[in-house]
This record gives sequence, C-alpha cells and structure tokens, in this order.
Amino acid sequence: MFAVTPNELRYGAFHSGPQGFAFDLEKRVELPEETFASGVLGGVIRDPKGFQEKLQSLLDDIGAPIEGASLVLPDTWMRLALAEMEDLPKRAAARQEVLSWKLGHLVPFSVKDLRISAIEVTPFPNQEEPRRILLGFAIDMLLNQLESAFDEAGIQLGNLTNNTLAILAAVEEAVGPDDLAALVSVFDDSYTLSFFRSGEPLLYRYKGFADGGVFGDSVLRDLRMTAGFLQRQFPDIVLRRAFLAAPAELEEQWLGWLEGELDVIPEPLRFEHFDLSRGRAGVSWVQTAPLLGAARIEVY
Amino acid sequence: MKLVNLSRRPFLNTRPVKRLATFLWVFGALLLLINGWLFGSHITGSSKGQGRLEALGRQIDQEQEALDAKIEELRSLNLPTRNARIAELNELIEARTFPWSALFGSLEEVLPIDVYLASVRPTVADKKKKERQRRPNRALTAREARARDRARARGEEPKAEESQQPATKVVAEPPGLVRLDLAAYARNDDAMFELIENFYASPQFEAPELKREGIDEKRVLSFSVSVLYRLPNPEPLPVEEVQTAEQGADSSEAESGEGQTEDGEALAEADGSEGGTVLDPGSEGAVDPVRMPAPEPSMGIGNSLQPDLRPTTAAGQPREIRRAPSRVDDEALPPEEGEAVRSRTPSRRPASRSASGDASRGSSPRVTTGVPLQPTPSAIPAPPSAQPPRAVRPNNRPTSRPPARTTPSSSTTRRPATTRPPTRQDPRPVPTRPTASSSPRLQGAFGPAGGDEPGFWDRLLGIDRPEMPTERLVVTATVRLHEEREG
Repeated sequence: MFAVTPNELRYGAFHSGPQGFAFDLEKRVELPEETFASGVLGGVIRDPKGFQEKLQSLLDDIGAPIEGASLVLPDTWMRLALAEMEDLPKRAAARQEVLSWKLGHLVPFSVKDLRISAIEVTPFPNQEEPRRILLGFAIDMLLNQLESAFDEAGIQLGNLTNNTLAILAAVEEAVGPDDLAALVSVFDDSYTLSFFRSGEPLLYRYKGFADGGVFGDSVLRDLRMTAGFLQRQFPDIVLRRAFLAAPAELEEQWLGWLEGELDVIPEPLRFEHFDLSRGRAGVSWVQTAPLLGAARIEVY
Repeated sequence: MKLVNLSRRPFLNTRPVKRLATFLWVFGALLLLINGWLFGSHITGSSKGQGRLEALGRQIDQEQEALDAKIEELRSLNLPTRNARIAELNELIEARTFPWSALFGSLEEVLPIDVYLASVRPTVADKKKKERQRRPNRALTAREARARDRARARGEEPKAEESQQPATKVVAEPPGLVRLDLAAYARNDDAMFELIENFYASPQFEAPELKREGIDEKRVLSFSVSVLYRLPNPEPLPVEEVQTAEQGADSSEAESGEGQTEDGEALAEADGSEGGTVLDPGSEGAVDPVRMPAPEPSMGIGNSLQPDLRPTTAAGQPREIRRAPSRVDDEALPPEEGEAVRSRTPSRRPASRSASGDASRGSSPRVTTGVPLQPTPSAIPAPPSAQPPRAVRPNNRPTSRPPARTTPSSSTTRRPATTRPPTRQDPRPVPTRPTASSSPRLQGAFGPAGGDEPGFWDRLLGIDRPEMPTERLVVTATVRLHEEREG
C-alpha cells in the first residue's frame, strides 16, 4: 500500500492470515518541497521525473517486486460529497455526465478537470430524492501523473482512495454492524468529520482553512451542526463510538471538542482498533491506519 | 466497506473468474480425455467393422457369382421349351396310363352272361366337378334297397363303407379308385341285379350305383351303372380327362358317323319312351370322353364303334380278341323275342375284314361290329314266324321286338335274346340263365392259335336294329368279357 502526502511517499506491506492482517513492512521516502503544485484540491506533479525517481528509490528500498498497489491520497486532494439523485443512467458516459452535472452544483470547482466516481449509499429517511450517492472527485491530471509514475515502475494502481475512507475501512471491524460511529481526521490545515454505519458513510464533511489555522469556534459550531443534522435524520440512532486520528499535538484539544459536542467519549486510534495479528513498535497509527484500510479494501 | 475508487484501472476481483476458468479447464480436459477415449474406441471399432464389412463384401461377391452362375445355368436349360415338352409328354402319358386291360379283365369276371355292355367310361373328376358333386348322401332307392336285401339274403354283406354311404357317393374317390360309368343292356332284371351283386362281391369294384334303368322301344332293358373300380396300381390317375370306351353320342358323333349318334339318342329315347326309372340322370360325374378312333369303313353291317382299346397281357403283350359272329339268325330266336333280339344283334363282321383289318393293327383288341346274344338252346324258343307279334305292355304301349338274327355258326349256342323278370307281368316264359359252360365260344380269326381254344375276349354282344333306316342304323358295339377259366 502506498500513501502520498505533499512531502512524503510511504509504503506498507500487509498479509492476510487466519488471525487477521499482519503488518510486514513499512518504507517511506521524503519528497522534495514543491513536488506538487499548491491548490485547493492539491496540485499536479511539477517534476514527474523527480517523482519517478523517488518512487523507484522507494521500490528499490522495498526490494520485492510489486505488480499492484493502492494509493491513499490526502483528504485535501480527494474530496467526497453526498448528494441526492434520481436514477443514474446505466451507460458509463451518460452516467459520468450526470455525475459531473450534479457535482458541478455542489462544489465550486470546474468539474471538467476532475475525475469523478460515485457509489450509492443508504438514503436518508427524509430526503427528497429517491437515491443518495457518495461522490468522490480529484484533479484528473494529478491522478494521471501518479498512475503514469507507478505504471512506469510496473505497478498498477487499482485503488485510489483518500485518508479518511481508508481509516474507515481499517476501523470497520471495531464497530458493530448497526452501530453509528464517527471518525475525525485532523490535519494541520484541515479536518474531516465523517459518520459511518453498516460499512458505508452516512455523512462526510471536509473543512479546510486557507490561512493554515483551525479555529476552535468554527470547529465547535461545525460539530454541533453536524450532530444536530444526524439527530434529525436518525433520531433513534445513538452514536456509539468516535475515533480521532490526529497528530499527537492536536489530539488532546480535539478530544475535548468531540467529547463536548458529540456526547460520546472519543478514542484516539490505537492498535486495539484494528484487526492486526501483530503490530510494529514505534509506528504512528495515524499514518499506518490508512495503509491498513487500503489493504482491507484491496483484499475485499 | 463500500468506498469510492478513483482509479482508472481498478482492481477486479478475478478470483471467481479464475475459479470458474479452472473448473472449465478441468472439465474441458476431462471431456477431452473422454473424447480421446471415445475416438480411440471408434477407431478400433471402425477398423474391426471395416474388416467385417470387407468380409461380408467378399461373401456377397461370392454369393453373387454363384447366383449368376445359377442364373446362367437356368437360362441354358431353356425351361419354357422343356416345360412345354414335359406337358406334352405328360399328356401322352396320361392318355396311356389307364389300365384298360386290367379293367376289362375285371369286368369279365363280374359280367353275367345276360348282360352286355354298351359303353365303359372311366371318370376321374376334376376339382370343379368334385365340388359340384359334394352333395349330402341321399337315401337308397327302392331298387337299390332291394338289391342290397338280396345280397344280404345270399349272405353277401355289403361293405361297411358302402352301407354307410350308399349309391350317391361323391366322385371324389380316394386314391386308387376310378369311377366307371357303364351303360349296358340286359335280358332281364335278374341279370342286371346279378351284375350289381357281382360288383358288390368283387374286390375290384366298390359302391355300385344304378343310375338309370329303362326299357326301350325294342323291349330291351337298358341301364346305367356307376361303380368304383380299384386300379391294380393304386397310384391315382394324374389326369382329369381320361379315355373312355363309351359308345355314345359324344364319342361317336364325329368319328363313327351318324349311326353312332343315333345309338346314343336311341338309348336316351328308350329311357323316356319306356318310362323307365332314371335314378341319376345326367351322369354328372363323367368327364368329356375322349374321342374314339374312327371305325374303318369295312367293318361290316352298320357302323360300329371301335375304341382303340388294346388290352394287354400281364407281360405287356397285346391280347387277342376273338371276334364273335356278326349276325344272329332270326330263326334261332323265340317269336316274341325275335325283334328284340334282332334289334340287339349287330351285324357280324366279315371274317375277311377281321383278318385284314386286325392283321394290319397287329393283335390290338378292337371293338368291332356287335355280336349277337348267344342264348342256350333250351332258352330259345322257336320263332313262330318271321315277324313276331307285338307285345302289349300293361300300359298299353305297344312294344315290338325285332327277331334276333343269328349266324348259322352260332345257332346252336344262342343265349336267350331277352329275359324278362316275372314282376313285369310279361306273359313270355322266363328263359333260364345262361351258364358259362353253355355260352358259345367265339372262334375264328381273333382266337388264339389253335382255333378251338377260346380267346381272352370271347364274347361280344351286340344289337343291330334292322327296323331303323339305313342312314340311322345304330350299331352298339359292346365287348363281353369273359375270362377263360375252363382251361
């Protein structure tokens, strides 16, 4: 599994056994500054050849040949949006056109430069449209550059997901089948608040701050509004668990916010939340959880 | 977890496909093995079948060659020609198979002296006639019952099968038996019944049946008898039509001239005019008679029927026929019987004709001109006049009997011209029955060498009818058979 950030490319190897996954290997390589262009949705690779060299150096470090892999993108580069829709066309082109049109009304981006994908999730009880879909989108050129780089290394990128979705897959086993859970992924300049139940996301909110700081009042208000929305949509469902994937320096602050607004004791990600047969010492589970989740998605 | 994937070439879960492909490959390999095994079996079986086919083909070729050879052989036989030839030969054989000599020998044994035959017609019924004659047995007529009673009174019990199946036994005779239709004349009823009794008593004859009886205008008792004759050789005759020795209308019409026909007609007229009892008219059992050879013109007075009957001895040699005198003197007959005797006395054949005619034919027996009856001297009263008085029957129908004409040579051994049974209320005396010893012996040119010894054919009885016109003169040629026992 590969995970990329603006300044790092990581690799983690897992294998599935009778007692669950085993974390075999973790490799990483530093990416030079401004490898990627800056932007709201991230940016294209400014030096694809340099990225290719870095990738090749990582693969050399791994040593084992890799034919297929998953790549975990930052939540900033790959956004998610939920939308109500009527029936989607079955033809791929028409379907893609409908999704682009729908997404164009939801986000302030030019959808023609985006790669869009969608899955259907359980609709809300009181929604107007019959269907509810989860839209994922990212800059198409960036994704093409990444796929080209891995293709040149002989690796097929069969799964492109973001950090929050991968962590959801990783902690899925820790939540009961019908329990409602929340995951808060905190980064330096953004955070993602997601609620999931029965293996699918119910609510996803990405919040970024352009000036590079997270303001407490904004977070609290957002948390309050989201909890209220869920309470209105699912009045009989109680939030059972809340997971926090945040850097260690922000973890304490966020635990307080979450506990105060969600009426549940938040849990920072730990080894116990994953179905791993064995862990590795000195591993940051905030960085390892997306790789594990990607591995679970790939295996499924 | 259902998650969004932005990969352009997403992973596909190929494991089900791979599993299905693996299964299909295994299944295909299994089918391939089965096909290979079946193909091998087919190759092996086809080679064996090919071998069998080749063997069968060779066998068919051999059979075809044999068949062709057989066909060629059959073609070379020229079957149509052979069949025609065989049919012709069969006809000739059929014409010669009937044992005439043995028949006449047997008839000689049973024939009373007062009875002479007018015709002998052996009959072998064909299938149609057999079917036509399959009729239920009828009851015995009064005469037949009387004849049987007489036979029983003499201690001669008729055969069981005859008693069960009287007179009208169907013509579908068993093998070895031939139906004989006899037309005969008798001097009286006793002679006729004696003949029937003799038929019953003889092992050579079975089931005699009196077909017809009547008295013609000349007061001659004529009758027809049908009897089964047992062939010496029990093989059945393979023919449907056999030669007949009948002197009747059918046989004589074309060969003997008009007189022969008139004789047959006269016989029929006698039946009707005299009111005789016709027991079985029609004689359905008889087949068409074979044409008799034409008589020679020099056979004497009147026309006589000469069937080519050539009896032979047991050794196959032709028997000699002693020709009887051709005439009977009128004076030798009683006055009342003179006309009748004359009517039954055929003209004697001249000796010169016998010598010349039969000599040219060798020793073949031939029926010649009628021979007069030969009454015993005691039985023949002297004729009171040349023209006897006409007798009047109880039914007031005049009957005339022409005086019998006898030859001088046989005047001393004449049989009574006619004998009348007492039941007919005939005022004439009943003549005594001639005996074999008193019968005259026909001697002459047809006798055996030595002259005095009687020949095998020693009696010929015939009738001439002088009162009939010349052109309608009918001479009944009969052969009285007598077997010489005295020697």
